[in-house]
Amino acid sequence: MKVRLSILGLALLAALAGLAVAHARWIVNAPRDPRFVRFMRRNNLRANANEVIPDRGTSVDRHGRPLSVAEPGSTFQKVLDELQLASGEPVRLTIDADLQAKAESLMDGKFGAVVVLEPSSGRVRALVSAPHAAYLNRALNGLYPPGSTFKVFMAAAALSAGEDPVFDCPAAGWRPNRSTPRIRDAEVSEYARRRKMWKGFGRIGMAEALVHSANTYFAQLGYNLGAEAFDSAVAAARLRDSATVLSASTIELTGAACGVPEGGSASMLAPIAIGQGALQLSPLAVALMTAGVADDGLILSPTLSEAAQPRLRARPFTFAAAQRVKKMMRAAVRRGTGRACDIAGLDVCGKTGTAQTGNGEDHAWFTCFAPEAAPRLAVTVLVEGGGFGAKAAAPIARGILLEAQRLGYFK
Amino acid sequence: MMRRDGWLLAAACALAAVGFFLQIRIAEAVPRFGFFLPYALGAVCGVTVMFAVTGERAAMLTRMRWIALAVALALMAALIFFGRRYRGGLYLPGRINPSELVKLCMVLFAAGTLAEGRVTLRRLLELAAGYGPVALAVALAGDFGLLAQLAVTGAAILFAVSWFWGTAAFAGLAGGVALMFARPSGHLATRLAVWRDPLADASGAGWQTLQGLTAVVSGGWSGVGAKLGDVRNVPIVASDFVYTALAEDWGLVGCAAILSLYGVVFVRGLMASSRLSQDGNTEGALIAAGLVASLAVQVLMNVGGVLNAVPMTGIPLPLLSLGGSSLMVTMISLGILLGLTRKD
Repeated sequence: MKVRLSILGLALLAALAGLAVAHARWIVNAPRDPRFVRFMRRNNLRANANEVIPDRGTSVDRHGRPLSVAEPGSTFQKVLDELQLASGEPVRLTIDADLQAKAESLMDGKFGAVVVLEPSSGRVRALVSAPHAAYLNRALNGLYPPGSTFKVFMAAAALSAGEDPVFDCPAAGWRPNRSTPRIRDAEVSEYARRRKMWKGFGRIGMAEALVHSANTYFAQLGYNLGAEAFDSAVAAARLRDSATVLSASTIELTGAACGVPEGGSASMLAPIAIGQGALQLSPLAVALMTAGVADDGLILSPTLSEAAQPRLRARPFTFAAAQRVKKMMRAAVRRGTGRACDIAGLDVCGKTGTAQTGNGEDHAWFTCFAPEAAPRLAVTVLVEGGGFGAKAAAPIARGILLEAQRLGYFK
Repeated sequence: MMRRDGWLLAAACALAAVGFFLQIRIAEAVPRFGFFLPYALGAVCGVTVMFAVTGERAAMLTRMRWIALAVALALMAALIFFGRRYRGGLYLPGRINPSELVKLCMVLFAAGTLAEGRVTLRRLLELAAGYGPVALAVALAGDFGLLAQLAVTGAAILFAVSWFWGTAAFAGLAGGVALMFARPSGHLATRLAVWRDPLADASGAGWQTLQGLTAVVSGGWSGVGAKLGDVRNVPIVASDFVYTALAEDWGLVGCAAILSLYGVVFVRGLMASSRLSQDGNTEGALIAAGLVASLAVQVLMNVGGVLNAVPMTGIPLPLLSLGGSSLMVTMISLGILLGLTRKD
């Protein structure tokens, strides 16, 4: 019996050693298994999870330089994880480390987002979500009322549908019917503060309306366009696409609360046409909308992978409509609300936005592209609670464009 | 007291102490009460049994083998008729898990049946008559973990007595397992699928296992430090997955230490069994061997399941897992084992 009991004992010790080996194998192998790492990232909020998963410092920017933004905790973390796990190897990103650093420094201490992309290819050159937060990327997933930046879309969509109306825009404002509040222009309160009477814009066309960001004009434009035409324009731009985050080569839009809610009517389009009401968009969506105008009516799929081929995402505007809106946006920067972003020698086209949130802290927007003749970069800036877009967001866009000019993007 | 095996006593006490402090540590993160009582009660029972049992009295235990079998059958019958499902397992009212007691009873039954120290046809038939209905009842209750434990323990006792029949029993066991793996169904099929590839259904069937493994991986070689692991992420961390709490806090180093303590218990228990058999006390030797086998198979199946080395069976880790009935029966078993090591 002694021999057999010894064998039993040895077998048990061997089995215990086997358990230790199995334990060690997980420690060694799991961090190398992309599927396991993906599980760890997605499902665990462990503080130390980042330490045991592989070094992600291997991501490089478009010029092959190591990306500091790829460090744990950066807003890029999730994006990079997805990209690298999908492809299984380090990814050469479209990000330009210099432009990214500049945008991050300009957003330092603020809450908001910056998207810089090439309209002609969809390549994202900078993507900032400030402040750094591991689980919220404001640029991709944050939803905000787009404010007046949405007038760019409304103008291009109306022109594409063959609408180019002239409306009377009185100081008293405009409303589709008696049961809705009046939509007024910002000038009313500005003049009132200086104890002056404002006479209103009078009868104006689309170009003047966009230059001065006339709410009364665009509210009527939305109302006259109607729910059906608006819906088809939103669908053509794929603004309402379902919420997807990232794939190996493209970033899908988070659509969510875009467009007219169920049971919508033309009267609901009045506030939506000026970027308020039920409308919410992510900074990326606003950037794509801008890129659609810049690229003569085409929207290319946004991508973070330098290796990805440019892909057409949507064709929302006609060539002629895009050309005309470009001119309007140029005028808005030259002599309208976007003057803070005018750069000598670089024909910047842009549009400000001040989105009312209802709690007194308006979001500041500025979305633009340059140069007018052959747009190389589109820049969208959002500052949460920043106040006027022209004051809070436009200077940041200007700083980014100047840096891009220095880096040779506009040669 | 020192006439008993000091190594075995020290290892058992160390494991119980680690288990107790581990439960306090987990309860700080996942508030839970009621683990003081099982530990205290178990310790009292274990120590009492330790003093009560001696090598000479082993024969008394084995003479009650038919009573032990009757108790095991009654427990299983009660489980089948009055059992309630909780997390996939059957429990008696009050969430009492009688399977631990069934195991102890069956060790006494098998040891008593083979007390002559050799296998005869009559004894084989008796074994079959005892194990058959119990195995059937366990299978009826759907507790394949318990079934495996009973089978391995029985085979180990048989192996201690006879080369031929012991090897045959293990071979038959391997065949049965292979057969079950080849054509799994229902709950078993899910467990096997998770075992083959836990990442295939990472957010579904494999989630629990993966959460546990994440803690293991997160702990790494030396752990994240005392009480620094985030035990809230692992489901059932206090009982079935208690190993992951240990692994995250103390890493492989700490786990290896705990596994070594189990190793000490197993080896010293088998050494006691060997000595008893040399003294001609076959009953005592077989009880000791059976208790060691029963404890060992629990450790191997629990830790193996957590590490996905074997399919998950939902068996508690002796002395470390929270579970009143498991703790108390384990401590009583260790009390018997320690009593058997007494030298006069």
